[in-house]
Amino acid sequence: MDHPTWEHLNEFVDGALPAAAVRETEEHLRTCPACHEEARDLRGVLAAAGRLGPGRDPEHDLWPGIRNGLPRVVRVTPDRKPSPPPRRRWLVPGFREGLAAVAALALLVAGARLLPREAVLPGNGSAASGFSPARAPLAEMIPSLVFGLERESRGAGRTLRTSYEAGRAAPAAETEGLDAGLRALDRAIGESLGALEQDPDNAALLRKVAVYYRFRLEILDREALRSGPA
Amino acid sequence: MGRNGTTTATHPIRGEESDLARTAPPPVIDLEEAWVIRRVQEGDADAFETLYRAHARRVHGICRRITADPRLAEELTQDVFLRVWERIGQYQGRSKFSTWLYRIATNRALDGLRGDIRRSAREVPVERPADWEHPRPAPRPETRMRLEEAVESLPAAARAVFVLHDVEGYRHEEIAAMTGIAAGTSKSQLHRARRLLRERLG
Repeated sequence: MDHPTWEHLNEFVDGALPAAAVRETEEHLRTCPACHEEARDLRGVLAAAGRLGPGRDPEHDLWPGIRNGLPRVVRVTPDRKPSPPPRRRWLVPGFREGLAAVAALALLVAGARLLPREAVLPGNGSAASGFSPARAPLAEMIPSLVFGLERESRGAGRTLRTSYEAGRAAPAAETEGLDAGLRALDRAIGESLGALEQDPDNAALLRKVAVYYRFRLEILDREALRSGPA
Repeated sequence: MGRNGTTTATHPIRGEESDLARTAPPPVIDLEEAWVIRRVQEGDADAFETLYRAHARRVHGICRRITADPRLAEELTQDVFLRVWERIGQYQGRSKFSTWLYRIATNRALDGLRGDIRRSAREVPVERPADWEHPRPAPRPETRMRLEEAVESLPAAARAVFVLHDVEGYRHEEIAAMTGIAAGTSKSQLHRARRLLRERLG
């Protein structure tokens, strides 16, 4: 083989050559010190590029300028397509309103009969009036909240599974990322629930659990829409 | 919910029971960041500062390496984050947030590079990266330049393609789509950049 061109060497180190050309090039590099050195230098450049890291910090703190510019920015309205199924639209504002709304969600999802008798929302059950730990301890609400959220989540999973079984789904390989995301969420939910057992009146933890469940529902809804009939 | 804090749940897709808390692989999504993003989508500027602090270096790094201009890179970094604030409602978690953000940064840096070249060479209509070849300062005479400096000394088109391909990991087809050049041109610019770097680092 003649001395490989620089372009050929680049293709070689990028792994873009067919197997036969790779073998031929390797053979040549074993016997030609000049080409061997050239290939080694080229690999050195690529290795150095791979070690470059994220770059340097700005010389100035840019945040104040960005912060000042935010009010002037007109935010783009989110593209709501595909929109979530109507049956769960009530979930969106419910979670956004925080802990009080989470309690209201539990009432909606699980039904009042599932809540312990003591778990009554203040203000005659109005979510808008807020949540008072003194009158409705979080510890008493948690099992009902989790039951409702988990039931809703499993329902979304069943819908998706039905969709998959009907042959409208992507093959298993394409759902691996979805599986992994859901497992990560499940693990986070499990950890947060474990922490809640230790600290049952921690409103922030409960809100976190609710947010994780919301992410989970959104993922499942989105996938069901994607895999559903066109 | 188990008393030990683990969750046994029906697998949402395959349907089998599994102890997900025990068998789950390492998380592939950053839940803390997902929460911060949700707050930003709701208009929380403090949460946005958290995102900024987490990603400013990388965004600035992309802008700096592509433009090789410290002042312009800072302007572009600010602009990138203002665009993110403007468009964060469109982010729906279909890709990693960092992927979405760095794509915006890369596109903005390429826009900035084109604009910079237009300002410095107005006599040449600059529409395509083939026209980016405005002269850059000669590399310093040290025998072994640091790679960052060597990259900054490259001609604009070669530098942009090198950063996109060898540093940021884009494929030639993606670079072609982002810059408007042919994939083959991207490849030849990359080979040129590597040759110049070899010479300047040697």
